[in-house]
Amino acid sequence: MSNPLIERLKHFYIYVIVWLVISILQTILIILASDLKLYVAIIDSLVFNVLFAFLAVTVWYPIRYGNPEGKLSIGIVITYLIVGVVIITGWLYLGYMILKLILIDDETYFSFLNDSFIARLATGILYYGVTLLIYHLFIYSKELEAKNLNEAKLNLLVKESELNVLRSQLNPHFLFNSLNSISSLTISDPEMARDMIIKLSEFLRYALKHGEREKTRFSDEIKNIELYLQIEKIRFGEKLIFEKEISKGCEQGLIPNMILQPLFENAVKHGVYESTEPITIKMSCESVAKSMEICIRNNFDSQQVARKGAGIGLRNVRNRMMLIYGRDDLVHVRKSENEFEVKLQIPQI
Amino acid sequence: MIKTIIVEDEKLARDLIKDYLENHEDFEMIGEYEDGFSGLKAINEMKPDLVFLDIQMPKLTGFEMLEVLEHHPAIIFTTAYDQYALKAFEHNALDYLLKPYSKDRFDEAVGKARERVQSGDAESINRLVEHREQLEEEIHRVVVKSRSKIHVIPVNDIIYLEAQDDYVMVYTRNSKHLKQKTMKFFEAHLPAEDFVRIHRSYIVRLSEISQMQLYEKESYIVILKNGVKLPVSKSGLPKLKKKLDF
Repeated sequence: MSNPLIERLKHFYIYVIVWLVISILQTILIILASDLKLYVAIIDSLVFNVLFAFLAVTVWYPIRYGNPEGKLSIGIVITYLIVGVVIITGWLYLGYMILKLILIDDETYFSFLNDSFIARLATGILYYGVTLLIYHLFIYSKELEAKNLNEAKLNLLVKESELNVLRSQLNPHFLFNSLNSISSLTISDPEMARDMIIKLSEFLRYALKHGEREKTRFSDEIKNIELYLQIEKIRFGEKLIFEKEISKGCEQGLIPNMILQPLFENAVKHGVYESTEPITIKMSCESVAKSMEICIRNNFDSQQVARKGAGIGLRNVRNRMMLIYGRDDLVHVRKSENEFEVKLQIPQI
Repeated sequence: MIKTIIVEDEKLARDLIKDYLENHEDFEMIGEYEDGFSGLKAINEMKPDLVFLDIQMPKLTGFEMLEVLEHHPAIIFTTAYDQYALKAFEHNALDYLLKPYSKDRFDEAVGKARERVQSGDAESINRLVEHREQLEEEIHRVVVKSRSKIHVIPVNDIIYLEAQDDYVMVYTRNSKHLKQKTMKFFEAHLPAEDFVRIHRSYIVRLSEISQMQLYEKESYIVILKNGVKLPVSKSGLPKLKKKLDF
């Protein structure tokens, strides 16, 4: 951050005008309070004020670099005091020196100068205090701006990840294959075709509703998952087996909307799609202390070659859990020779 | 009669094809298979004229099947959503059906197949395989055939590869297989973080390298964990150094 007083031309003009106004006020004050001549009063005001205007610019640097975090501590207060003493002493000393040079033998002026020492010291302290205050206001507003920008960025990130979730939910492969199955059923079993259209519609409606609320009741989520699995079962028949074991406390628990869907899709994709033998997807849920533990497990063809790039769904789940609960230790994945398991721990507050 | 086989893992999708095909009396359905492996065997044994082939299937994908087919029938791909496949088809005369498809669209594809079978053109499969090679997807397994047997080698089992004229010898822990592919193909499609091409004739798995030795001046060899020594070429050395990070 550069010095805000001279950072922009506009700031600089304002700064100059402020000091001009102060100088004029001081001139008027001197004329009223003493019997000095006008030009002497003007010189006095200009010398002291121009000098302080320059010194105030330098005050920025110890503030900014001696205290980069902008927090107040004893060390900082001491620094400010020392800087203050140096600045004010330097200001008064230089002011006296310069005026002595300009107004070499104006005796009345020098007696006025000496008499007004206390007033000048007080003015210096006031100026210094105001300078500090203005600088801190600048820093504060800049930080506020940066914070707002950060927040906006974070919001964008959240939106983006939600979009990703949505995209992974409406898996086109699943959708088009299901439509093809319906197309086939219209010939062989129209009633079943109708049944499947209704299931698919209900599933899509639920998926599209996502985003209205962040969390949903576990029992609703399970209903939707079962809808999805029923559709896949129409396609794959006996190859897909689903078992669930849900303890009583779980039904009413709240979980992030559609958080389980990508996990079941993975189980179907890497289990059922890739195998010629039946695949069992088991789900269990237990209510432990102030959280729910959901476990989704599926076997897979051990001959199957591990595919990379399977991580998108799982990564989305991790990201969402992180965004919602602010913890990265809630998702656990375990893979053995022929079994894949994901455990979700969902805090209930 | 045009002998036809379906290789497709969903029963309903197979039923649809059979149903649509009933109107075409010059086509005879001689078999249907649920996975790439059994489909491959059937095609090689029964030598059909036409195959309806799904791409995403258990055991072997439709593409992997094509690579090792001995017999080359006309192929109609059926797929739901496969951006890679679509890309490949864009440059290819072969037909494909995007699920779900209409009866008209199906009839059109079957019409093309009829023409192709009658003209006896099989070249397009090779073209399709070539197009797949240009796509930048990573491979997970290598399918090879030796005499009548088909082997599926997981990429994770490969230790190193050696160029042999128009072929590549694929070495695993306890076997080796000849594959009709180029070194360039493997260099482009094996996972780049695991393999490095150290020589015009050699690609090696990084984790299998046990040491590197200076051999004559300025030329190196690597010694693998199984004791095999392979030369490192001048252009291979910087690649190897970069991947091993030294």
